[in-house]
Amino acid sequence: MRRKYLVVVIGALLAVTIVGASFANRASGNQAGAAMSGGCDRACLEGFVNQYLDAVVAHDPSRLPLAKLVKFTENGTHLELGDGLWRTATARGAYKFYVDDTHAGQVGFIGTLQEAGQPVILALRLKIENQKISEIETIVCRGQMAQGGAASLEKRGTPRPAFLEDLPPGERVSRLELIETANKYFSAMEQDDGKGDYSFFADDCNRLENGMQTTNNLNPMPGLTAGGTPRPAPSPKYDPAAKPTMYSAGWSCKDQFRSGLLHFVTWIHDRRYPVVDEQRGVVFALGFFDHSAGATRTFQTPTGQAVTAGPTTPFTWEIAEVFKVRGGQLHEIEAALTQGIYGMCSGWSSWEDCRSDQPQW
Amino acid sequence: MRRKITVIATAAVFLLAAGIEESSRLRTFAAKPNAVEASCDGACLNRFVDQYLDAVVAHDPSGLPLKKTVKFTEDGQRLDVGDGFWRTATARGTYKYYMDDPVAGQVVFFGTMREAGNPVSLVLRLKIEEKQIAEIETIVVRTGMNSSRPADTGAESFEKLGGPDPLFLEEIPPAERVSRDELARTANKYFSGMQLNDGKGDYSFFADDCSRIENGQQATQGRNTMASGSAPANSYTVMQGCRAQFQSGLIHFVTRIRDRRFVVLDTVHGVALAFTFFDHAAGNTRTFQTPDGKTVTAGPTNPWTWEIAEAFKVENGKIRRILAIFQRCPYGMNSGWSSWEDGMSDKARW
Repeated sequence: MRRKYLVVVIGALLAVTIVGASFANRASGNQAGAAMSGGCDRACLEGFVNQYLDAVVAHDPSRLPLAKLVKFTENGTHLELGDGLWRTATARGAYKFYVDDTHAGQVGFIGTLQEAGQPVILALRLKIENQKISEIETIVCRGQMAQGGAASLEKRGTPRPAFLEDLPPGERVSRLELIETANKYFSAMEQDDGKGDYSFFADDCNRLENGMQTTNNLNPMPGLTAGGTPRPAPSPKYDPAAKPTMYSAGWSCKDQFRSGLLHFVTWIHDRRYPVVDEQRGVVFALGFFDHSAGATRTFQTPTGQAVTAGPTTPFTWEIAEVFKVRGGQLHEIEAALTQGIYGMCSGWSSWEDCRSDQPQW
Repeated sequence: MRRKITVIATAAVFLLAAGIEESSRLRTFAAKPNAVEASCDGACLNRFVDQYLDAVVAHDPSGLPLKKTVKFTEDGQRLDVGDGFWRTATARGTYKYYMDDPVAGQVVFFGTMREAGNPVSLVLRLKIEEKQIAEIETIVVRTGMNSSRPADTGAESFEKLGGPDPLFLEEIPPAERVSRDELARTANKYFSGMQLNDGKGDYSFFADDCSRIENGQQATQGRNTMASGSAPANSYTVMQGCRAQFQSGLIHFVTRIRDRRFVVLDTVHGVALAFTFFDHAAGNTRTFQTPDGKTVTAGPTNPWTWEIAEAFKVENGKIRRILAIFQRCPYGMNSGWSSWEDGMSDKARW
């Protein structure tokens, strides 16, 4: 028994050493990644995205520079290149939002496309190694919600300017710090109780989800909630005394979290931060929002009110979410999301990492 | 891409036309007869199902005899036992069909349940090892097939039916029983005949009285396999029989039926049960020619997959009854029980 413990302790020490080394390597800006990408700068990374999307619309992957072991996923399933959206995309859209990580040789993208003549929202991640595409991860947001959202994004035309602005050199922080700040968003939303420290939200924080502004928005949004009920008209301000039972798109980022009414998001798993732009302070994250339903739907708000809310059946959003981080706070947030299957994995993590709510980068 | 599809389609036609032995396309799966499992007969397997479902409704897995390494999936996703439907099931329903395979130590259950008060259909597979539950695979059908009736999961239709067609429960006379291999091979002809269906295959594996029920709804014309019905120009119809639907060549848009796992092979009752996925690749695979030379464009406009469990009653080498429960899932999804290669392959396994 004692011997077994010794083995465990040695194993744990080794693991700590390995994790520590890996942490240091990652925190140092992923120099190995920079070398692997073969010096692919912003224009190069964005050029790969454009080349990829043009090939998708042409239904022809043969025109792409692909690594031999290239892997492709669509909505969490590993497909052969040329399958899925490759068969059905009919045109590129006008909305294009690139997030570049020249250190890691990765690029994230949120944009619009036409599929069989219908608008969809696409989240795309490419990894470039030696000027070839080695990883392709996509989330295709289809259906009514995405169609309205795609139209809204196209009307908007371009991402919010702050996403594209460089941080003053004196305000830049390490990729690890950027990830830590972004990850606070997921950690605070998971089983939100309204009692956390939400100072990581800037006062001007604003969020778009599938093209719809879901904070500080006083214009009622048409459509239904995830639970299938008509979306209520937003209330302009969080007022604990009014004892609200549902958070509102009219509230600020911080107030939505302060309300404790997001509690039904029980688990945010498989959090990956593969694309980080230190120059602009932008983080492109991927993850899944689980709503376990059942008894987890009933909770207490910070004001002591018992509330039952959220989906009645197990429910998961598959999500790509981009954060603008400045001064240790979240300012702009933009997400592309689609309903996944409860508990699903991305196809890029082990099952253990997938089911964990710890960040991976 | 078009070239690739043409190659696939040509290959499928070639295989059917050449009558290549199904056996050459089949691969061995995990259902290895085991002396230990033989000690759990049909009644024993069914008791495990009842015990499991009672525990689910009680939201309490702690009383179940679970193997240390037990694995649980719901709708293709591996979850911790106690998560998913375990949290939301509120009652058992009245439709119950148990399919036992004591040789493999496996049982599959088709039934109805209530989840947060709403009727849902459930497929459950349990694998029993040493009187403990080693594997739990479930499909929970929560949304309807028809977008205009999203709440109609088929569960109420199943309950109106009361139970499976009595034929499923009838034993095959001992002299007419066939091997597990033969049972699986016959059932697999259904999937092979549907995949890229061109209407030109040998569909004699359908018995004349074949009928099919999908999510509680009659999906073929009664028990008349040859009924031609009055089909719209570009779609097969439930007014047709099993064989006539395949002969129409109008199911071509089911481009791939993959990850075919025959997990129950009950030679006594002549019942084979498979889990599988029906892919609809969309794009230019939607356009095809029917046997009469007509060009048709049909099927889903975006990539679409049904996750399905399908039971077949086989007698004298022919399929007489088909019973399926299925739901939509992400295109190309894996079951959680196969390698990626097996999951993407259209080869049958048992």
